[in-house]
Amino acid sequence: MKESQSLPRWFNATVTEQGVASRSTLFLLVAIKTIRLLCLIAGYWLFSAMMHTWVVLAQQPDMSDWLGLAAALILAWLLQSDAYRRTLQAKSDLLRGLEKRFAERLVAEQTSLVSTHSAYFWQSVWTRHISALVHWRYDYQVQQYVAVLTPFFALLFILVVNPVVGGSLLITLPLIPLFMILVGKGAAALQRKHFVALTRLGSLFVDRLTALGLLASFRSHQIEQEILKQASDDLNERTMKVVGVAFLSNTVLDFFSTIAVALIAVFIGFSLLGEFSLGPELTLHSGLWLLLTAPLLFSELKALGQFYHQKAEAEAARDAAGDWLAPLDAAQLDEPANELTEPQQFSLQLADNLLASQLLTLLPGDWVAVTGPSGSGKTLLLEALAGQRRGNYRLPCRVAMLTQHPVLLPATLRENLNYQRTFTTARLEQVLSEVELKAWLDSLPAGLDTPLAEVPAISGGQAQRLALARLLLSDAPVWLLDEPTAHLPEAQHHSLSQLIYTLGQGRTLLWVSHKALPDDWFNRAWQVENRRVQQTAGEVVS
Amino acid sequence: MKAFITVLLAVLHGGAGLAILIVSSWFIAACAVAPVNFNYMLPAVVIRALALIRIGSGYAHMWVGHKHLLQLTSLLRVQLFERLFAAQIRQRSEEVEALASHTEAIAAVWVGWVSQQASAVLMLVVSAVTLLVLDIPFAGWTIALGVIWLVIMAALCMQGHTLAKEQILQEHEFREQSDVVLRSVAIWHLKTVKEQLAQLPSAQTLWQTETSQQRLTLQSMWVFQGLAWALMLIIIYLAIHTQLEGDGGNPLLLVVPMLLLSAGDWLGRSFNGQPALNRYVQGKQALKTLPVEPLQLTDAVPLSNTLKLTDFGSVNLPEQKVTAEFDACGLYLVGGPSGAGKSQLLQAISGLVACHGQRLCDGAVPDDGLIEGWLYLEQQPVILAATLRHNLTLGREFSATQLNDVLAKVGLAQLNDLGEWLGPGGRVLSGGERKRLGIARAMLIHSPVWLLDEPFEGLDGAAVSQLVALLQREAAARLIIIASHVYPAELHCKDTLVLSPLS
Repeated sequence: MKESQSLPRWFNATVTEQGVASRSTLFLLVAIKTIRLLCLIAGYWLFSAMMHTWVVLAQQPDMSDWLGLAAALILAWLLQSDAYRRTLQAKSDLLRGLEKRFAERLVAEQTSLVSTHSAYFWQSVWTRHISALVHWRYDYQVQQYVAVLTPFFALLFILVVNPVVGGSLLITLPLIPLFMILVGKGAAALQRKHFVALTRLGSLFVDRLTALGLLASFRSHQIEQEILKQASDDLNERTMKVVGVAFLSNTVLDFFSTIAVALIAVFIGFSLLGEFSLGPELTLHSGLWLLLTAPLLFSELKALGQFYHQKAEAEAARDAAGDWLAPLDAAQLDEPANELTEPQQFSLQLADNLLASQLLTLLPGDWVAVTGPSGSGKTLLLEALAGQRRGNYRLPCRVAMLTQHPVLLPATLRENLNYQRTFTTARLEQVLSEVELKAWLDSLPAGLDTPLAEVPAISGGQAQRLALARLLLSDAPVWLLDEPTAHLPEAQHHSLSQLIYTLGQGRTLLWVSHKALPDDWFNRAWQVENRRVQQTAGEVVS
Repeated sequence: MKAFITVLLAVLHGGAGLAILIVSSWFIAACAVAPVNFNYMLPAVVIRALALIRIGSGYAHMWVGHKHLLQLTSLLRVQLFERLFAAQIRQRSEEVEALASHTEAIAAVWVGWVSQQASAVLMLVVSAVTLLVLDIPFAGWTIALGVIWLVIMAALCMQGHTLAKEQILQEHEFREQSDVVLRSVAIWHLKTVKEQLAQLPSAQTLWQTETSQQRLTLQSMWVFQGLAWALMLIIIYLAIHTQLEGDGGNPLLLVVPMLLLSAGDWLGRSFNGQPALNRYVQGKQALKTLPVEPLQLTDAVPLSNTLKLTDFGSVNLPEQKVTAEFDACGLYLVGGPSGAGKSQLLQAISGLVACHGQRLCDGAVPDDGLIEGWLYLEQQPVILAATLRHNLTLGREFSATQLNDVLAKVGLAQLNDLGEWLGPGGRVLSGGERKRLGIARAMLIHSPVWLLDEPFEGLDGAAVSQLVALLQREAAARLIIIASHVYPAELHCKDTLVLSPLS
């Protein structure tokens, strides 16, 4: 679990500093929104002046006031539209920037990263987490600043116009955050108290939906339905306890803003009647303006409340995906060379001490047997050499990997083989006969253009041969084989291994295998034990 | 009932807010003009009362609204679950997860959309009626405001709906594309770095639609705000350039201008409800089009002699034609490489999938469907998010000694706390432990036939031996058919059936 760095600090360190989201856009948006509110305040002044002339003085309002009001409102209206446009634009830009970083990270770390989570999780990063961060940045953060600046300016002007009203607002204003923090702490405490029950009960519905087959087999559907109902009632009761307190924070704000307006109205009214005579003299002009401006102290804070859920979503996004939005060092995305020419000598050290090795040697054309108990880090070693892990060394040339479960794309056989480039039919047929799939190819109804989904079940061995064909087509100088025969029966293991031996001659090859392979195939052996690699056989070039 | 109370409280809350603003401004104007015999105490009290109503109804609306939301969501979920009795959902797990948010979205339409629109409509109607009845100057202009609101709202709803439908399609397409790319990660490295970056899916179109939705809502609010202000400016312009309505010093003159000046505030909330409406429509659609596959449940079939299969196979594999005979008690092995159809055969025998061919139990043909007591135990047994006890008993009554007994028999004695929570947030069982839990479940109920799919895969040597011993013991009392490509040496079966890959 990561230390809880505050969200703004994390964002600045990871995203802003590296140039994807600039602070200037943020401040520009804040400035536009604040100026818009200043225009509104000015507009209210002119509006109140005209009402005063019209109602109290019983004259027609001044045309100059009307023009001023029209100008102020039009300006506020246009600034509003400008703010919207810029916000949407900024969001698009940030989305693009974050997506680019995420894509680069996926490509740099490939299998080592993607296999750690389901495809659904990665899709959520795209569809939810990245947008959550963006919305938080340009809605919530902007509103945070506006919610502080607007009351500041409004209060300033109110104090100038009527120190009594301004003073009493100034005294009551700090109470709001105080109460909201108290309520927030109370709600958080309740949430913690019910946390375990809430998380368990919350996922019950989906859990039982995925287990319908089990429930049918064991005839437990009715019982589970009862349990679901009881659990829902329990969950709802607990949730209401938590939100009952959490809603108070909205009510606190509502309370202060409503009471403020009501009391100001009564105060102004009575002052105009002569019941009070506190502070400078009030007229309908100043009174109406005060009535219109006072709610501005609270309205921006209320708007912030509407965006509040964005903060929680952004924090969830940071926890889930934050690591992968940090920038990469450029070297990780370099195109590797086409040939392995130099002898390699390295002692591998991965970040976070995932894997370390003694001084290892690799000469072009070596065949290395990699052995070790399961879980010791053999796959890590291959991934590191392929350049997918952060460490101090990677192979300088292109590699081709064969994994335990071959990848079959939902497309035609031809498209499966034309993965990195388009090859001629002759070349494809040649490669398929090299991997002993010619007979199978001939049996297919449409030959190379048969969609794989329509082929009756491909056996594990055939699929691995297809994967092997891809390796041949890629013509990479180094092959990394991660237990390719792990899920195949004995006979297929032997034939496939023999095939690899024949086709891999002349290449540099690293082979991880649990199942026995002839010793004379390999001229080097690396033993992986407990995340440590050492060379156990083979010459060392000094 | 609660739904209507929620909406009523929302109307009260909104109405009180508007009333405070209008009554306050009228009150100040009236005090400034100070007519004779002006009872100023009454409006002051009314203002304060309105303030309390607003605060109280605000909290009550949130509280009642949320309670109603939770109850309605539970109801919808239980109803959905009931509908799925003896059925399966043929959908990916993430779409099943989305059902939880769909049911919530359907329930949330009251708090999220209906309340806002109802209060907007009622505030407009009540203001128009009140102003006309009280013969307040410029009252007719509120009708114009109402019409503007209605037109913009209708346009917003229609366009928003279209965009929402497009969004669903795009999200579906994105998921399909990204699924293929993400699942092929093991071969990405064969391409150049530039090609790899190019092949990754992009959520740009998805985000653009989302942005369009936002822009639609913001634009609607903006246009409405502009038109309301324009109306107000026109009224004052007319006041400047024409005869004043009635006496100039009428405090009621400023009611309608105030209404129009603040229209964006008290009616603006109604535009923000559009996303809630979209989610409601999406949720309804998702629940309607749920791909439900019904399972037939058949009562227990007596099996005391033999189970005979003739040209038997799963309906999903038309070429599968298995002919075999099994005793009512004994251990049988179905072997063959992966892809030969072993799982399908076992599922067909149990009745989980439809079959073709003939199946005779003691010479009689059983009804179609999932036969009670004939348990198909899949490769990855489902562990419910529940206590260990519930996972074992699935709701039936068993004593603690019985449960501990059966756990010891399958080799799970280390799970000694029956109240321990399994699943997310609780203890995570290893693959081998899950398989053994599945068998423990089967041992607790009367199950004359067990169909085990790859029970030995992923287990180390000691665990395999233990499991083999257990199965040999249990086979004395029931028919056990194992599908496996692993053949443990110590396994002695009555017979072995080898399926060859279908060509």
